[in-house]
Amino acid sequence: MTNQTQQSPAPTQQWGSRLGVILAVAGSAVGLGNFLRFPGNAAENGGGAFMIPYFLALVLLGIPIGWAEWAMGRYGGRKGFHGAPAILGVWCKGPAGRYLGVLGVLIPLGVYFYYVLIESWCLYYVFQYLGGGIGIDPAAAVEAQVKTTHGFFAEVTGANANGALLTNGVHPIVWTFLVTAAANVWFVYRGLSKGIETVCKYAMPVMAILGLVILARVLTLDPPAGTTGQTVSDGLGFLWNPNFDKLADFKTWLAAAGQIFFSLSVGFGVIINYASYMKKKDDVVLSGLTASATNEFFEVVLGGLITITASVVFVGVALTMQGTGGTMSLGFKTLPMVFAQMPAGNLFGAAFFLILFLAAITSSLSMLQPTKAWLEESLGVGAKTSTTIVTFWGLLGNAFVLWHSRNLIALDTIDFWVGTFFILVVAAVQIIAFGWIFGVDKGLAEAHEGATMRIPPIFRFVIKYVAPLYLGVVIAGFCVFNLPGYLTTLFGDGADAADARLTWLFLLATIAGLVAVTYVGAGRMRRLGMDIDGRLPAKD
Amino acid sequence: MLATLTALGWTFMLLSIGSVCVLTFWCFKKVLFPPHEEPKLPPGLGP
Repeated sequence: MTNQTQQSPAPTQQWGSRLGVILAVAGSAVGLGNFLRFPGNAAENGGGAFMIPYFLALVLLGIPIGWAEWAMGRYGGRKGFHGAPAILGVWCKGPAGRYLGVLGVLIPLGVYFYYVLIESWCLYYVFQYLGGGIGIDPAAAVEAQVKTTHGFFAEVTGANANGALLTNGVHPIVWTFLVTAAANVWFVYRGLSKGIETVCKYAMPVMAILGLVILARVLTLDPPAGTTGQTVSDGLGFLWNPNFDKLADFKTWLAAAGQIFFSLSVGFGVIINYASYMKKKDDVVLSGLTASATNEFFEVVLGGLITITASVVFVGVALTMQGTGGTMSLGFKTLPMVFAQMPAGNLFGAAFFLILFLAAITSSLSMLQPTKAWLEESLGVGAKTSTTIVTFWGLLGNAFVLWHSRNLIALDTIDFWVGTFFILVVAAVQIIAFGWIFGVDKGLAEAHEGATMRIPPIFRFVIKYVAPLYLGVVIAGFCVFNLPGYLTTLFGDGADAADARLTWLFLLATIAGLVAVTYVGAGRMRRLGMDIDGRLPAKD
Repeated sequence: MLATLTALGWTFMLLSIGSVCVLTFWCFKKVLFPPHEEPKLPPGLGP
């Protein structure tokens, strides 16, 4: 063991700049959830009072686990590893961490299976608004408008039947999807610096500027004649007036922790991969905090002021509340009615869906990279081969979700299990590995290498005790309140259950493939003399 | 259900948005304009 060397099993890439990696991580974190899920969650769970558990979860869960993930990734990179399985194998000192780390590759890949489709919906809505809107008659009765938006959404997503987008002619959304998928593959193939970093360096400021322009417009809206008569103050009040009774409900705390968790992309398998391309003297503490803060800016400032406010002013509280039930509902069903009522609504509709598209593509770009890196270091293949494999793997998943579109069951199943439940599992593995197996003092010392700010001492206690306990409560609450419904669907009767089971079969095949790659990779790295069980100190 | 933004609503909104803006601004200031460090000279060199 002691004669092991530390060499890289694949050609190493590098970030172009510190700002680049921060924007890439922030771009990965900022997604549709910032603009649509957060305001809905806040409005449903106590309004302004929701921010108390929200900020507590940010400080006690999101930021410390994020710091741990940045430090773990950079440390793994110094040992020549870039995939979550190898890095968690090092931090957990053995194969258990390595095979649990497979989830850190499955999550971004599995989420990519459906996320690119949602991304292509956003782009399709941009084109529709640039071409004159989605056919809502603002003078029609509310019921008619609701019917139009729901019908349009069902047509675009193929929610009426499996294969709806491909039978009876190819729906134009399929071409939009192909363009979106091709763009993703192209930028990932160009590599970290020329591809992902470049896109994020342009897309993030554009997103911020467009968001601020729309925000300025929303905050200066007058109650339009013939609509609800409600003002901007009413819209802001709907979201921000606190209802302290909600703080007594455990589900509010669960929703806040969930929102922080999934919004920051901790436990997603991306930060650990991105940070692995940093050098020992590159700061991870301030970089991690800046990426989190950027995500919060898009979520609280833009997400918290734009969507619900405009929705209440134009379509009223009742329809807005229908929309807060889910990310898709608010974005793709309620807001189109808002744009139909708004002066220059098509322009603002196009701008809004362009923001969503940019938020989505900066996220989806991060989803292929971990698998690509893992293939390269496990199989010893080059960028062309790894990009080809990951492209076909991704397209296979996209095709599965595209075809099994009825009631969006396949999408919803992957989103729940892979994009939600497994993230909690990976985060738990990470914080236990950092705080307990590797050791919190050693872990913090590693995080402080090259740091331009120090992690406040209180976070030693938070990382070792509070975050694992908090995360355990979140996982327990999740299992009690969310899991039963999905298990009932999975083991029930009917077409939905059959689609859910088929989706699980597809996921199991994907997991089997990733485990096989991990097994082959571990053997290869061992033959190369690499320290896959984390027995040696990392090189500089 | 519907009420105009109350004083408490204003407070929560401004505190939330303000704290996020201040944190974001502070972070980017530290990233983009790091404090200037004097080069460390080997012992025996310098004035």
